[in-house]
Amino acid sequence: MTSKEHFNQEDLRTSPSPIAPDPDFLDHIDDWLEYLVKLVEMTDDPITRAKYERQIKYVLRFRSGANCNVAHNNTLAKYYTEAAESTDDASDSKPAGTARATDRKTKVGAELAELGLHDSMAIHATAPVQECYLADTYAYSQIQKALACEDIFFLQGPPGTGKTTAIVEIILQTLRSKPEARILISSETHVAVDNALDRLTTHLSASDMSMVMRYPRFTVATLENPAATEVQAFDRADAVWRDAWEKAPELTGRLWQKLDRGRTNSDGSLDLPRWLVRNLADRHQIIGVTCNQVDHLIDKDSDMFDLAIVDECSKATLPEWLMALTVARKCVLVGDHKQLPPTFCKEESSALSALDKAQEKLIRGGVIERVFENFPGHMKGTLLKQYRMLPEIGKFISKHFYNNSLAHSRTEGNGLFEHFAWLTYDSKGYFVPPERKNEEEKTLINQREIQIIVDRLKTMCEQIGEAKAAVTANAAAGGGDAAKSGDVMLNESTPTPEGEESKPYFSDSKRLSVAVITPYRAQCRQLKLALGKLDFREHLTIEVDTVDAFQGRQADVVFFSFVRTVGPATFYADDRRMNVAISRARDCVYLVGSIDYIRSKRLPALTALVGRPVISRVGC
Amino acid sequence: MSISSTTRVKLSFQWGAWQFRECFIAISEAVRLGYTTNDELINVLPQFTVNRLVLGLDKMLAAEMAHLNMGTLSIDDDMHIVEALAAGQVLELPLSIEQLERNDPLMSKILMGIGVRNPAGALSLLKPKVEVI
Repeated sequence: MTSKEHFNQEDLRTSPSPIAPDPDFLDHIDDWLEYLVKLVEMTDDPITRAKYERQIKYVLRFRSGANCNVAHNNTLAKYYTEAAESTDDASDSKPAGTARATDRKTKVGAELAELGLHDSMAIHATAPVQECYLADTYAYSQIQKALACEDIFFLQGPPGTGKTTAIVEIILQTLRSKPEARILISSETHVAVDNALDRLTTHLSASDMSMVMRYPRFTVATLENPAATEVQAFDRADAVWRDAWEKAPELTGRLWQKLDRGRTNSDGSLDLPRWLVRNLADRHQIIGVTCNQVDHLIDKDSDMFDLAIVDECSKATLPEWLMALTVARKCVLVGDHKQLPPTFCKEESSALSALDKAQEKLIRGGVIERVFENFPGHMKGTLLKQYRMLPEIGKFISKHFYNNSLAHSRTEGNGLFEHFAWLTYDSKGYFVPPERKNEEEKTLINQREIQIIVDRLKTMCEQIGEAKAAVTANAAAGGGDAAKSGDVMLNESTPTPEGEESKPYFSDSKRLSVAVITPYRAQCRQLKLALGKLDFREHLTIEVDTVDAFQGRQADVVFFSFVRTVGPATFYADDRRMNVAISRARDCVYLVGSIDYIRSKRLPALTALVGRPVISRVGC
Repeated sequence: MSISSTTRVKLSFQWGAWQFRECFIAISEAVRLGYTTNDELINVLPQFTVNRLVLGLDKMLAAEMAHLNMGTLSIDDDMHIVEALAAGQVLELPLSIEQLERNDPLMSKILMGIGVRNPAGALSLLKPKVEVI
């Protein structure tokens, strides 16, 4: 009997064999290598294959201890298999330096640093750089722990708790303490890198901007700091060529002809040549890049990084975050294992299914949650005050996904749409997916839910239009009347200092952000088609996406389309998916689905959702 | 295994340290155009960091493809041939793979045959590739 057959017959919740030792971190890495090699064999697309080959290169580098800081290997190997001792755990509530082991290490580090033999990455920050941390002292204490850590730190950030702000604070404090430090800002997604780097640039002076680079370019449409576009690698490359042209036009002309100018992609866009990227990377101190593109910046002659920050690490696969960890002396992993784990595309899933089921389970599960649970207190922290959701939504998230541990900051919303309620319908005789069809025709598209969403959006537009008209009329009448009448557009509870005017939420240029999210791709496509035919741009900015793709983003109003009216609720049964779906909303969540179907599933989080009020019920 | 006497092979070259390809070319062009001091090179080649220029120049000096005399740089004439070979110039030869592989004396003779005066230096920058036609 092969080991594969053996695992197939086993219940995976139990150990595969009573005498088999638990796999350690190296075994887990080997599983990943086996899986990546299979992927390379299966992949026809050369670009995707190159990505997997890069991952193999970095995983091997880490496995053989050829990474920047071998302490990372020891730490991860240790806490993969065993939990930190309780004495060390207790240090969570004490200042970072109090744990005995940490004390000893810090002392040795300090002595070596005095002799000029060791440049410690442990930073003891006293005052925050960003003012927001003067009020949120708990969050700042978690950042202090991250700064005081020498090698690796895990910062858990539940939804809306200010992960990006924390990342920026860690970078600013590091620069304050070590002005020459090289810092890598990395993530599995471009959006997360963009957000962190964009926010960071708002705190930098014009001269400091010259040390920052975003490779290859920003992908988000609007930046908090529009001037941040100057840090894009393409702009930087342009600048050096122009500089060269001014100094030596003939030479530059010749080199432009002779040197590699980069690859042209199938969509006509141009990639920067690697030689130029590596030279640019050497020149910049703070670089933002996705984990998979770290290799574009680094070769054996490159300077390594002093600090790598991996945002949304729980959404990244092990090889992805290892790529960033491998090139830095200190690593801060920022993420939330209570949100969605990495997603595997069709090709990746089929490569996974070729492995033992035990291996597949370990790879899909990832190591982040396990390592976080096992890490000692001084090497991990959690941000516990959320700044995104109104309390009603926040309390639901806190109660069902974070053991009531979250505190809430916001108290006022937009005034018009602050529901957390159902838009439901009678699904009797309405089957999604349709019954008596073959598997291919069983598409998960629910037209009834699409119609409900469209109708609600139209109503919202009308209401916002009326609100804006009232503001205009009020302004024309000299102002103040609406405030006296307690108009819904005003932030009524905001105490208005004498002499200052209270600003209405909906002004002419204000557009409410709306996210329409669903677990299923077919429904997502259909929603995009339906909403694409309508024009809500005057009052709303609408994004349509799957739950998994929307992680890391937020909107004022969220519509969650459940789609299914029959069959298993596998997708919603995953608490992490429901957590992400609901916690995207700032002010309002509309649950669009068949409440009767959801009630019949008897799953804890879903049962709690069923208890939310019903705003409308179509078909009764 | 015996090889037929009619066997022909294709001998081509690529840069041994591929990551220095651009650096070698840029330094050669710059020096040929008269930017012959370290400071001038650093000034006219802002596309490269000082570190990478130094590493590239060091390799060229070690291979004797660049020369430094009283602080003035010059590029050896062999560098033209080295660049042409690395750019994909192919030599077709009536030899077997076994004769050519790991046979530096023969490789040197071939390079000398096409005009390289310092084949050992050229071979320290180039990586040969032999294929049967």
